[in-house]
Amino acid sequence: MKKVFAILLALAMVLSLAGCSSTPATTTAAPSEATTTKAAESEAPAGDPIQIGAVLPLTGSSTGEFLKAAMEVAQDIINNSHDLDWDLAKNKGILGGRPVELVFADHQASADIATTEAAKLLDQGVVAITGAYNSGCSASVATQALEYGVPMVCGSSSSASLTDGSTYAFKSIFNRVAANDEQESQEFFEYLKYLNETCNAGIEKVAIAWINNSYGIHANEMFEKYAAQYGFQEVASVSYESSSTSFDTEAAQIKESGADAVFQASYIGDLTLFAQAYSSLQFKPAAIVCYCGGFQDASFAKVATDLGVNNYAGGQACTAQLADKLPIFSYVNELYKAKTGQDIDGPALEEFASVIVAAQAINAAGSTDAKAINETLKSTTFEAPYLITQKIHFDENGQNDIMPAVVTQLIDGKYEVVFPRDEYATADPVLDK
Amino acid sequence: MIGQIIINGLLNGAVYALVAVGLSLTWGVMDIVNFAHGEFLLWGLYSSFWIWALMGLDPLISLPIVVVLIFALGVLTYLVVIKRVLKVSGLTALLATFGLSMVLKNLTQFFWTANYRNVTKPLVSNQSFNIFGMYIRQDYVVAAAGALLLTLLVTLFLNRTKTGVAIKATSINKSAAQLVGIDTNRIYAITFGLSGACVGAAAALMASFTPIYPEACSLYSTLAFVIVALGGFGNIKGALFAGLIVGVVEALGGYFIGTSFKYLVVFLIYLIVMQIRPRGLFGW
Repeated sequence: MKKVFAILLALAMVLSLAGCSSTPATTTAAPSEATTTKAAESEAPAGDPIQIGAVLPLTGSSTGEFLKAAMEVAQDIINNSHDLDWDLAKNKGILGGRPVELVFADHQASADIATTEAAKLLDQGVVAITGAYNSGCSASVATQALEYGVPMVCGSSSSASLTDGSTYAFKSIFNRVAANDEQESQEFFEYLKYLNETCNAGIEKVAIAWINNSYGIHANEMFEKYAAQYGFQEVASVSYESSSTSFDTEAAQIKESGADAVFQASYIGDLTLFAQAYSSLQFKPAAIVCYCGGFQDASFAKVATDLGVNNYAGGQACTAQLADKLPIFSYVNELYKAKTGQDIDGPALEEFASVIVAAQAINAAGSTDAKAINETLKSTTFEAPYLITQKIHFDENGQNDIMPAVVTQLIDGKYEVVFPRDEYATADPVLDK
Repeated sequence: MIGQIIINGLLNGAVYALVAVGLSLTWGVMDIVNFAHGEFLLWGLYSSFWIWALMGLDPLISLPIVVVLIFALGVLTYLVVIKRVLKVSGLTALLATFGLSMVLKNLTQFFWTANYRNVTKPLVSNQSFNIFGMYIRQDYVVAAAGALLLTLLVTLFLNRTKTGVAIKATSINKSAAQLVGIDTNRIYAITFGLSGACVGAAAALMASFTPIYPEACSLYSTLAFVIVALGGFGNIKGALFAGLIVGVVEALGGYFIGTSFKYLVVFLIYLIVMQIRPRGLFGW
């Protein structure tokens, strides 16, 4: 029995190592019971529903429950009449009143499953497809969508390779709302430069800890590119497997490097363990700058508060602190909060935007013809009153080229906008040395 | 720096040993592979979390409750899943526990979703003692002390109590044990319960520094199997030492070879040891 099991154990180890390369992810507390909004109770729009596919990590090591909730809010905004200064929300449905029906599929954070699930949705006849959160899965979905010529509007995946125009062949049908890691890197280094110039932060040496998957690999590449371009000295680049039980060795290496600022390309579980390890090593760099992922998860705010640290910053499409300045964002946030019990975070807002943009493109194209929708997506600037930028526009490779993110810093558990220093800044940066 | 890495490795290794002690009872002593061991740990973590979230009891305080809960889960597992398949030879019991593992994992997902949960402001924090420039985490120290205590208690139980001796007798020769009047059904149930109790204690000690989600224990579970095999089947103290070895190898491997490959080094060493000493480093 023991011999037999020793063989099985070896197999399990191989599987375990394979599992190390999977892409985990985020989230916080369970969404509460969905609350019916006043708008949702109103009469449904007439006509055949227009189906839009949504492939998300709904189970497995990752969860898309919050992303799904945000997409359902978008569906509510499109299908029902809302008292907002926004035509899409005022009117019921699109193409003369036809409702949008979201068809969800679960890719379980696996690129292979994403391929299968996307193919099922496309066979079913969805007119556009959205998702898929994990960059690798978004690539799989887009590859399938290309075969069918169906447009994809990707919400929150951040890998620059998705829209570099050369890594993948799907640029003709692919469009991404979120900032990619190249845009984020540029903005982060601008932020560090600002900290040095105006806050005397003294940041010269930078290091990065990155998860060993598509998201982390490209974040690291962009980090290296822009660190050199902005004249910062890269002192450490530490990769890790997401399934690790702790990150004490990795954190010790980063600390030993003497970095003044640390970049993280991490999901919520690993970022939490890193934060604990940094804290236990009494390592407090001037800034810990995070590429989307775990930082945007509302549960990380609790972790940072618990550890008593204010030096975590990262890119966000929006934050609840901007509710007063953006009334439509505030309205969307309230609908989302009624469904989930928490404020909408960056990835959820980006997934919300992906459904809105898909509906706007179908409406503007005047039909559900895939070719017409694709042409509209590449040639139109879409109204986005729920974002700071107010607009979304995709370049020829499908990247939203109106920088869709600001730098937020977790200050006393709240995501404050600290950069750029314009009318949307909600607080001054805090150097938590 | 090397000192810090070794300290980190030893403390992490103690946590691994903590998880492996329970497994060494069912697999090492009774020769029944419980593939649901990782899920027992997972349910222990969720028990600690929910007691903390709903009743405000720190995981260290609620440790006895969690121990009892997972003890009950262990006994139930034996009565419902294992008992009926014990008489069937081959891998039936193993496959049955594999099925149970899937059921428990999916139930976890169903009941509590895939969201990450953390115990915040625990009684023992992740802050460190600074000794000779090395940072030693308080929460890890408590977990390591728990691992030592648990190993000691289980060893004493097996060697000094009637039930413990009956467990060993049953594991050596079930028929002979029955002939001398040992109720082997009861012994199996107790062993599974004790294994659950150990893993419940481990969960309570780990809950303050482990993000809790349905996949949280996958690697802990795999490492526990490696540790029991490496330590020597049936050797509880061996599991402790093997846990420490795995922790240090992982930390040093990560530091010198690359953090992405730290588990590769662990599994490689396991494979080499199994070739040289198939009964494990401390096996009889």
